[in-house]
Amino acid sequence: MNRIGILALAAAAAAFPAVAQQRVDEKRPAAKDGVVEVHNVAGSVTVTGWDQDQVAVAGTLGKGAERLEFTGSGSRTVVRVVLPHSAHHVDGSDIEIMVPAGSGLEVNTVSADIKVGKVRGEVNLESVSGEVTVAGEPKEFSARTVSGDIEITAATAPGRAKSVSGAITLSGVTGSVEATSVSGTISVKGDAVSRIDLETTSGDIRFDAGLAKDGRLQAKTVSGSVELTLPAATVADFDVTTFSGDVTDDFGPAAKRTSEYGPGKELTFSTGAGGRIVAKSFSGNVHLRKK
Amino acid sequence: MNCRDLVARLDDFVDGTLSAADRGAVALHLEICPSCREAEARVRALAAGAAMLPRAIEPAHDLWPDIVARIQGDTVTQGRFGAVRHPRWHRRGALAAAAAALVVVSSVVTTLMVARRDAATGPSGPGRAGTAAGVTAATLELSQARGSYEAARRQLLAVLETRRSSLSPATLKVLDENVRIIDDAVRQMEDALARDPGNQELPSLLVTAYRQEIDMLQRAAGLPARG
Amino acid sequence: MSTNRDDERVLVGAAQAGDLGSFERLYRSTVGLVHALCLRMSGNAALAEELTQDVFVRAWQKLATFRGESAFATWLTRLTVNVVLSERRERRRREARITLADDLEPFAGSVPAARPGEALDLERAIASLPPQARHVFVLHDVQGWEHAEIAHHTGLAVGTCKAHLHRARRLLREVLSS
Repeated sequence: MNRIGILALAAAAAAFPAVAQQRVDEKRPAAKDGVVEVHNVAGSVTVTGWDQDQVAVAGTLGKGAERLEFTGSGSRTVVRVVLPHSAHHVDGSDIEIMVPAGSGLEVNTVSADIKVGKVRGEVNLESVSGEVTVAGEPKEFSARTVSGDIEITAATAPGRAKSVSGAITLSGVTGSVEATSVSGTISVKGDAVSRIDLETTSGDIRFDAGLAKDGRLQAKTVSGSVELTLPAATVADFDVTTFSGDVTDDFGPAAKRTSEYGPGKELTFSTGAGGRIVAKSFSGNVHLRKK
Repeated sequence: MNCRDLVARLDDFVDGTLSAADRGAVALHLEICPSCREAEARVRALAAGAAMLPRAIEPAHDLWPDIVARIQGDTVTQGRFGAVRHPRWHRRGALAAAAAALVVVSSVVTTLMVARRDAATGPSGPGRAGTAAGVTAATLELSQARGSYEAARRQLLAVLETRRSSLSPATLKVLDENVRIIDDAVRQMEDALARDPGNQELPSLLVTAYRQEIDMLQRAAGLPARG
Repeated sequence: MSTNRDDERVLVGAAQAGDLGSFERLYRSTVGLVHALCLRMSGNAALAEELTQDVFVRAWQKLATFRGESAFATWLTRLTVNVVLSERRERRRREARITLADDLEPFAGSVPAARPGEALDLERAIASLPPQARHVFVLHDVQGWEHAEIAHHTGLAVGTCKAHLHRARRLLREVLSS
């Protein structure tokens, strides 16, 4: 290669700093209960709580990423994978972040997956197509995606999960929880759900869990099917209605027609006072099953 | 133009009241600046959200008797705000306000409740006179609520159009598909409601679909570039 | 307002001639619009009902000045804005007011039919705005008025209106994203 060629290459390298992958490994002091904010377009973000008063970032910046911005004042730490404005293709960056366990967390990605564990502050996660996974016991959670799947496990926290087409899975949740999806399936598993609101347009709703004493479950869909599998001993008022779907039921009496003009069906009965279970659909079938 | 200049002009830009020269400069800056594009999308989403709030909110109870009393009894001059009221009235006012403040869509619900009650009590029910055109206030409100939803939807879909070049094809596909899913759902439920106007459950399901669509489109308006 | 214009003209004519029954029908078809505007501009549920009454009492008194150049609802909307703004200017009510934002708190959790969602958040956020920013935001973004018209009614300069709108939108975005 001639000298001009080498100069041209050097210039290109200056304009697009990370021509190849680039390792990062940095630490900063941070408050025990500060907020950590993370931005990474593509790749993955893994955040784990630890018992040190610092934030540590380790990982690999993808080819084409400009740099890692890692700044903060203690109460607010920012971790951002900076991309050049004009880049057409940038490889994903995989970053692992350790944060003080009491931290609040705000993570924003486009296609990068987000994984959070052992963080006890308030957790706010947004991705477009990345998968969002939360484990542990945050104080409160909010997870939003467009097409990415959302999985929340073992959270006593109240919170909400919202997707457009991504599947939402809630396991072991006991706090007051809301899950909404347009076409994604919502699945819930757990022992003692205290208050849960599930809502879809066409996505199916599957609930296979117990209800806490005086617990409330509401499932609402337009055309998705609703399947509620409950322990035989469940004590609650049941209220099931559908406009044109079918209702099958292991618990109470057969569904009655309610509407003079439409094909509406309604099923209300009680196995005892306390809990309340409401399921509504337009055209989706509703099944009540005993475990 | 830098970001600070843009922020100062963003409202006028969004409202369409900026001079042509400034408009060009703002558009140019938006081309290259993802964070300003996001700010733009948020302002548009906010304005769209405000425009879709229900136009009409009925008070919690009938104010007409008090108004008539003031008109006829010439109490107008004695203290504009009338006598001190029992606290219960405040509470009822509060509930009215809250009910009112619920989305467009839930005003669809309350409207339909009122409509149903009217149907039950018959046309001679006191204080619920139809308008001159013979349409009940409730049906007027319902159509207004739908109008607001449709206006907001149109506006947000227009925002989505302007964002097509900055969103990924995969995301656009998901958004388009789900707009279609909700629109189908809304159409089916509207048809069903037309056949069964007294149905108690349909309004609340319709509400769900309306809200999901506006929510999704607002989200789409605020998605980051390359999303 | 979707009331047929011809019917409306007949009703207004009769009301102008002193027919309370016709005025009641006008009231029934427009009270929601007036009350909504009073509620959002005052940010206060109890006050909004008082203001709504005031508007219709004023409307009855001033009905002769309605010439039918605009729809009755448009005329009434302008009257409502004037009543709300002059009430504020006069500051006649000294009693502690329950703000709309507070009113909504206990209610928000108890509506099974429709969860509040973003629009309730928005209403609550609007109610929490400083008064002038709230007035301008409601008139511009909810009612769809132009700045010139808002300036005319509020007595503010157009530039000041724009500044209030800018502030309102910024505060709302902050509140809503937090």
